Amino acid sequence: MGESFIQLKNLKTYFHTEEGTVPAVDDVSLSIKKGETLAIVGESGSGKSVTSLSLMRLIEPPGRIESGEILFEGHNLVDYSKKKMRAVRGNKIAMIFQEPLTSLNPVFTVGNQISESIIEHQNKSKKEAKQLVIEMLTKVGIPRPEKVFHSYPHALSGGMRQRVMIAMALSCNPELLIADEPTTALDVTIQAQILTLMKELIREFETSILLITHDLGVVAEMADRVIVMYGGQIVEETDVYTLFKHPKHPYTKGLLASTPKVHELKEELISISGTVPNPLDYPIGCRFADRCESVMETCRTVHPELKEIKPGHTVRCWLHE
Amino acid sequence: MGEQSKTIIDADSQAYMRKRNGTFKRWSKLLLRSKTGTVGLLIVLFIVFVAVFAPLLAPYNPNAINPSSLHVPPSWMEGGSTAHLLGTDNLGRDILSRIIYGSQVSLLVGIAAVLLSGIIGVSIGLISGFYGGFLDNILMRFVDSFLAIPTILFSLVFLAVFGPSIMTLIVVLGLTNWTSYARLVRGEVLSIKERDFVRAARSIGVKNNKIITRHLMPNVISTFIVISTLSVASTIILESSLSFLGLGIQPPTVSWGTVLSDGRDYLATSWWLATFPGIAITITVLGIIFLGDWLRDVLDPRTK
Amino acid sequence: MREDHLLEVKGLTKFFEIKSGFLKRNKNDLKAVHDVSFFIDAGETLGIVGESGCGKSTTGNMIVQLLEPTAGEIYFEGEDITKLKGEALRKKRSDIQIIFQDPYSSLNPRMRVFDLIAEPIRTHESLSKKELEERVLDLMEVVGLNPSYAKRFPHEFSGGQRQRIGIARAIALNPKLIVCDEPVSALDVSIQSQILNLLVKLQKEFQITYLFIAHGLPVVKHISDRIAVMYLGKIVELTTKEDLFLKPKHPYTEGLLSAIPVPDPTQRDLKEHRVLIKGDIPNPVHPPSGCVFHPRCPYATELCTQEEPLFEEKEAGHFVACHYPLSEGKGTIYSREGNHDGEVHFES
Repeated sequence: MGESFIQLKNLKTYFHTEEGTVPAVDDVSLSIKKGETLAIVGESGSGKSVTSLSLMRLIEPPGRIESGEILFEGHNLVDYSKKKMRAVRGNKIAMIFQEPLTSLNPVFTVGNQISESIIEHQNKSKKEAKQLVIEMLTKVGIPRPEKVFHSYPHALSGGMRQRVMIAMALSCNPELLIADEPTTALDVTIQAQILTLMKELIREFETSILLITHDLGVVAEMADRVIVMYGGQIVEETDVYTLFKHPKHPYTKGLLASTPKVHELKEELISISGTVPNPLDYPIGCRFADRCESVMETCRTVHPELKEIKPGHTVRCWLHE
Repeated sequence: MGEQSKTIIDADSQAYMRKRNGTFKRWSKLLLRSKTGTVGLLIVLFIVFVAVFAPLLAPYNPNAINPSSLHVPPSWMEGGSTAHLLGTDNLGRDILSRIIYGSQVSLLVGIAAVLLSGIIGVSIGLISGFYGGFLDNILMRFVDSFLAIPTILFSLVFLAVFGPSIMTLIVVLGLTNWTSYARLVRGEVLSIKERDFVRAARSIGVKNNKIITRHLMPNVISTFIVISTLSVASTIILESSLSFLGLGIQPPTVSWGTVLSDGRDYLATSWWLATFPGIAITITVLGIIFLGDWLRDVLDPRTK
Repeated sequence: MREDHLLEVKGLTKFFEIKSGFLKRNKNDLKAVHDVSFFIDAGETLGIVGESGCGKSTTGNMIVQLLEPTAGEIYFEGEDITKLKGEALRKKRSDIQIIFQDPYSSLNPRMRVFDLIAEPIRTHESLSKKELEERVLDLMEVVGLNPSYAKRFPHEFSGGQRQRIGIARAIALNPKLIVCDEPVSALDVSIQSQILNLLVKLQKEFQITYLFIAHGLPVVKHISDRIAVMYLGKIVELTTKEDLFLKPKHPYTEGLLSAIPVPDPTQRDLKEHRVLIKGDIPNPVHPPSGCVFHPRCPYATELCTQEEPLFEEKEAGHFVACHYPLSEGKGTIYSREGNHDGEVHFES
């Protein structure tokens, strides 16, 4: 794995709603190395999806990137014009979404939609594009790709649609693939197929992946490095093995404990008490303090900073000062 | 439970009472946020005020004929006089007084007719949508056949048979409008009844009439209110046109429609006869529409 | 019909008519549930697991009488409740309750929490205002809601809290059976376990029997005593939790088990050898011939394509519908137990 080629520096994305300002992404810094899979784990409202949308500059009002840098190949994407950004999107950075049906246009055939991006980004003729699309469809394991090329999205099953999305995303050979909950809407047997496919494709295309998910099972299977987010902030970051073996942040520990494990016949299921704090009104101290079992006096009064406790392992917690 | 819970509910009901006051605050906050809502409310309050206090506000008896001052133009025009701010008509009656008195009938007819059609339409829509099947088919075909009768023709026949009066006018206007509510409410009910909370109520064993009144009605009523404010407006206009045709309000009662229709013959020479009642109708209708739009937001518990 | 089962379902079937084509002249049946039989004893939890379109929710909805079965009987305490009509059915409903999947659409947005929880009580009992108040506040406490929230509207709550309101409604009438229709699927992981633990606590406290429907095995595993696996409208396997996880007999169950991502990165390379179920779930309007699972089954033979396997008790209490049930230990995740504790440590 090479050096990091995309970096977020102190990124802040806020949503200015009628009730107040929601700091959806609050001072997030991360970097992705060539060929690696970085997973961002978190529950709803943790800011994991907004982070990835910010990276693609797909934030719509009332949301706004307040400050920070998105460094990609030596340029700051925050300063890019809409036109320049379009050339990056789908070409150098591609994205697949949770619900493939809504991200495919229902009135065009599958082939039409994939060819479009190839023709736009790669200066290929229609015929060449079609050939490439069929090739891609075959690679993502679609039987009878010629037929699928001419079908409309609604005629395909959920698993097939997600395969089409992956084919579309990889057709321009992007350097980074952002996968936002790519298997959440799928049944478990189909999820297993898609995950296996993604792993094969990573090996073949050497694409870096930013995987957004709430499922620790998917993380364990796919990721090299993991970032855990809570309340718009990174609370822990480390390699996947350390995270599962020696988690440091109480939230990470809680998440791991509350994930039902089919593969152990253990009975008790530990849960994290309480609910996610109101993003309009985060506490001054640690945002997890109200739900934390090891909460101390300091946690409620002073906001903890992200600290590197070992090389490559950072935690935002007063327990690890 | 016992003691502890009692204190809890006491504390809570106090909080609730505070919240009751808070409800007023919430409404006024929402009102101030919406400019059109404020304008609408002010207009409607003003018209209602005028209608209620018409005898005190009107400078003249609306039917008092004054042969010495026929076709007097509004006060600011040449030949106008401050005695008749909006001028007089062909019989020397004061236009301003006629408009002030006219507001009584126009509002009464507009609101009562809409309420009548609302009650009929919403009930039929709820029953039709909730029970579905054969009953639904019968009711909806009935609605369709009713829709096929031209409104004006129906009103003509009805008014000819029962004789024109405020009461018959309300009934006829109420009867022409209910079909649109029935269709609209039925459509809403069809979608709401498939929602989980209605299925949840059924699984609990809640009786059908309770499901209709507690679960379906509160959820369709906001749609009804929005549409009904729009149709208070169209009813006032319809009343005007029936009066214009001579089928509506009969003299000596004054409505905006009758004032308007009296003025139609003199449009070329005395434009003010028809213009001012027309403006009164337009402003009222706008005010009600603005208010209705705002009410829809307020009635949703999700808006704070 | 054995009297000692709380619920027994026999040959339960539900077809939905699908009309298509010009003037809707083509009529087809969507076979949502096809000849399903099982029983639940008082106090136990039966989990039903299956992927989308397998008929698990339809089954649950028929048991709470929200859907009318096309065929089959549902015996509750020895009485066939499919025959009940009108007032008798309405009364019976207090014994069988349901918790819905979506905590957002299952609560009337225009009712306050107090009225939502009071609704079932008001429907079936006549209590004084004070008694009702006490009952409702008590219920709120039982399900872990702050009673001072009684006058709030549902939209002021998070998903997990809303689901607690739904649970309070379900237990308000002290039902004997609760059908839990994917009650945690819409919730975040940390909240899921809160709700599951609450359901377990309530079961112990009030001796409730659960029919717990879920789309994934991890969730049912925690709460169920026995588990039924459904595929395309049929139960393909039904046995105790331990047997299902340790020695599954149906290839579909085996595939389901191995498809679950293991939350342990050290297992990921072992996972490469797992049984991957190929293909998609077929259209339930035109289910495959013979065994409905044969097009996706790694072990299917000629026989499977032609003859439908019977749903039989292959071992005591272990029902399977398969011509070639798996032998013990074959292909299960626990056969890798040796590697499980992880000799390898990945310290950084």
